[in-house]
Amino acid sequence: MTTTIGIRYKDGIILAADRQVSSENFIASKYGEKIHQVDKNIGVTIAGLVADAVNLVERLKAEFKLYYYDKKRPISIEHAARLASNIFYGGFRGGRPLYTQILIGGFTIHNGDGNKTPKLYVIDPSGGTIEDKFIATGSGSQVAYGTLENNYREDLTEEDAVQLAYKAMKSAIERNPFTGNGIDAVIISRDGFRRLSDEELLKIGEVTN
Amino acid sequence: MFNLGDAGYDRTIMYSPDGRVIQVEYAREAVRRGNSIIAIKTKEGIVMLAESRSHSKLFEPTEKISQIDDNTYATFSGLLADSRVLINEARVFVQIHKITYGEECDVETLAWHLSKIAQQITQFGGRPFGLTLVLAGISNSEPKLDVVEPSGAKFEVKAIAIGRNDDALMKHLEDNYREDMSLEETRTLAEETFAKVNTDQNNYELMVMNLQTHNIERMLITPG
Repeated sequence: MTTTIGIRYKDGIILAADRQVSSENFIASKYGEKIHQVDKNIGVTIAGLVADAVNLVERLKAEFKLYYYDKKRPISIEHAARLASNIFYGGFRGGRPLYTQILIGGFTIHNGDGNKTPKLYVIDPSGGTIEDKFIATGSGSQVAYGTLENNYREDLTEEDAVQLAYKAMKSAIERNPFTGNGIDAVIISRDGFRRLSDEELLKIGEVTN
Repeated sequence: MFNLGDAGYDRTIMYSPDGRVIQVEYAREAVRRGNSIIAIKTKEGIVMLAESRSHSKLFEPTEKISQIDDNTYATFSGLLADSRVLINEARVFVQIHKITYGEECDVETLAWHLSKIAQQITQFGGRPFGLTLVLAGISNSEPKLDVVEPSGAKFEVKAIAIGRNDDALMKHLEDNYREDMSLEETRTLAEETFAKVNTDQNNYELMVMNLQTHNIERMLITPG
């Protein structure tokens, strides 16, 4: 009962999500935070059962810290996605699956890997992982995909990618009854993880419409 | 330290007839033969120094000061292999604490947990940890130094020296420590103290934790 979007562009990843937390046909919150920073250069969006999702996010934060203290370098996005997938799979095979679906995206930076490309993954409750250029999840995903399919280009700049994410979120809010109450977005690039402010989003809204 | 009445009791973690747990005393001996370490706290922060002695100049240096969490560090004197177990336990514990309570684990809570593990070995079986661990961190905006011994004893200190030549090092610290030292003076005291016994010109690791800026500097120093 959510829409989350991830877009990969040349230098990074955009993650976007709505703010509405629905409980069947009741709006439980209008200010839900669905994009989380789990490591210096890795972001996660959540959809599904809030308890499972938040628990998973906290687990990932802890795992990535332990990885860092052990190896003295941040985990790469590829390995982060694999670890998250293994957590999902463990729950699934153990008969207690996590009722959540995540997007995990980010940028790998550590010595010797300076030119790594950004990566974006979607992981489902069974641990199934798909890497892609753009991904939408949640109840509004089909609406969002319409916009994404028609407007995605390989050569998107950061600004283009943010605008596309905004546009696709807008469509989902307009046409999906369980998506709404505003948009959150983050940019993950070489410079790190950055949340867009309400003012920035407002400005993007004016350009896009 | 050993008398005839204790014969045989050094092979167990049972008491000897005069009320000692001799395996723990042997563990303490392993600590006394370990690399020298020094830890000092002042109002401005904490300085840790750990001797980095290697058997051959062909060996790469092993890490002696380990990061446990954003603002928590540990160093030890004693058996390197045992230290890995305790340090890993510490790292996992602070992460579990963060998930459970949503806040950073303070140094004292961590030290209590580790001391509990060390104590249980001396009572329920196994070989006591052959190391003394020093934990440095910031709790409620105050610098803290906690020490965990092989017996499971845990105590807080302003400054401490452990390992080879600990008596001489401790004496120098006691004579020169002042609570109002600047961080720079504290670092100098640590290095001067160690220089007193560092006749072999061994390398040492330094960690300087600044309370105001939360900045943590780490370096490996070659004397001379």
